[in-house]
Amino acid sequence: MPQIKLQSSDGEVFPIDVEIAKMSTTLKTMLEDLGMEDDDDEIVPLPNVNAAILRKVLEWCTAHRHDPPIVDDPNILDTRTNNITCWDAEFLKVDQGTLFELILAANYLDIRGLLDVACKSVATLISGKTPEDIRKTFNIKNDFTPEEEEEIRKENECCAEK
Amino acid sequence: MPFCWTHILNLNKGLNVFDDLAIVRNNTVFIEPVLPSHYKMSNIEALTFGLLNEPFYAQNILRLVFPYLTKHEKLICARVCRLWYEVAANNDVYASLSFVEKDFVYHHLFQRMKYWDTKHLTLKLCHSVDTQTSNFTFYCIPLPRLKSLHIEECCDYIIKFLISMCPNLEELKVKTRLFSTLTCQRLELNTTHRCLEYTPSQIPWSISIRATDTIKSIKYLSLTYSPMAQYYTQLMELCVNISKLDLVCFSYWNPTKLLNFDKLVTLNLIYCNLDENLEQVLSQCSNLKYLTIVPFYKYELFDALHSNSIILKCAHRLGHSLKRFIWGFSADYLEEAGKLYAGFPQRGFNPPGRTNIDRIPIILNVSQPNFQQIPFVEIELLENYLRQQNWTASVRILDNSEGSELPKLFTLLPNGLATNEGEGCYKYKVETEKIDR
Repeated sequence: MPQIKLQSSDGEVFPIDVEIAKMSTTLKTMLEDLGMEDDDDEIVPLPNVNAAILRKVLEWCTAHRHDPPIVDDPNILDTRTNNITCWDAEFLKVDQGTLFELILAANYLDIRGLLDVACKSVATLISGKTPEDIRKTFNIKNDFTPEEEEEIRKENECCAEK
Repeated sequence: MPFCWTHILNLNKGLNVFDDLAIVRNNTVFIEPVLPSHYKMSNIEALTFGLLNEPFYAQNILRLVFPYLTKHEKLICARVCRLWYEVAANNDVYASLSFVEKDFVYHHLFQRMKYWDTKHLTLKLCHSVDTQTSNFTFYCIPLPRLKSLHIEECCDYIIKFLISMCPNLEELKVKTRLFSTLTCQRLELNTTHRCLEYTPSQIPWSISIRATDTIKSIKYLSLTYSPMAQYYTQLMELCVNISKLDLVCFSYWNPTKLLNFDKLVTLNLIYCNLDENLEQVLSQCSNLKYLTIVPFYKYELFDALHSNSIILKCAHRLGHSLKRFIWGFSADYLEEAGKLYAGFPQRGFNPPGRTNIDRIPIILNVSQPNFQQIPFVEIELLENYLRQQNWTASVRILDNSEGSELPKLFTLLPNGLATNEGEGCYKYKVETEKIDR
């Protein structure tokens, strides 16, 4: 099985199967465009992803390497959060920081499946909450003045109506 | 396409400033900007500070997560903090706005809309509280992003001023009841009564509409229940690029007005006044392909017959370009139809001259809910007329109802469904077909 080496931002090198690396569209494009040979000893640096996150990403990729490819159609973007598999749910039981890092890494590496589940699990944290609950959940400072807050509340009433 | 930090640039375009960041091979550069160091917080730090307070970081995360939220959830998010509001506003949360029964201040609304990416705006039962201000144009802020505008039962100012503010409008729908109804509506709403003082003649329509070129980009215009047909005529006159026009309850055809209907492809006339002037107007539609006429017969039998002859004459005039002609019947009309049409064929219907209209399938469009009541006299009417004219026309009965009861209809037909080629080249055929709405 041909392998390539990925280097995380903090310098750790991960030798992985090309098959798994190709789950990332970014890496796949790169490998194809650059025509990297199997025996090439090139190390691909990933300056946006640290070792801990890269390890998680590769764990996900390894578990999902037999998944059928996701059809990239924004119109059928499944906004419901209920189709996260047990394995993914367990995999995503991490702190918020890790979750966000996973989203950014998945987006950067363009791994659609991982981006989907990670975003869905953040969406779950948001859905059904009041603005105040959301602030608490994500530890966000409310920088609206009371007047502004009221104005936006009114504004949104207009938007929500059908 | 997700936003991505990796840009693939061609070396030929000369961007070697990024050399130290990029892997260069085969003339392709992969640029991978490195995040500023403070993004690499440890997880403990992240939780303490709340990662989503950091603008750059939060924007990126939210932009990715927002597509997974419902519109309602996005609106809640817009209320969390300024940053989230911004992301929400740029994330098609305001792409489609609908205001119902709001007496809002224009100024406020349009100031906001400047920043929103609003493409569709619907205003229903909205009345301006600014009408006391004499200088309306003061509040006019251009809305270049607005593509479609639906106005229903709003005061005339809204129509007038909004149109002039939307330079890239492609679709305009105006629905207004008769003036008296609107008046009542206003009283009910207990809004400003200022508008009541204006009669149509006092509204400087022509001035305000002519003042703008914006209407030229409108492709689809839909006008319903026009109390001021002459003003709508002005509007139509200015829509030089219009390709689809719906008119409902439009009563005033001005034969002296030359309308710019060269590019008109689809024309739907629902319950409109059918007179000789309409014929004149239609003769200007040289490229019309799809015509639907749903007549509304309100007076005497004579009137109905007259209307029918107008319809047929119109179809004749357009015979060369028409691809589809739907001659519809409303449910209201059907109730009276049996009485109205008794003995029709004997009534000396003056048939227009023969043209090559035989290429056009005449479609009886039977609308719900009374479609099983379609009187056989109606079919007979058409049958007789077709026979007189020696037409070869395919008569199709379209069914736009769910769970239709077509078999019942069949039993109503006097001559069954068989193709009748007995007399001349007359051919009679009934097909069923679902209408795509």
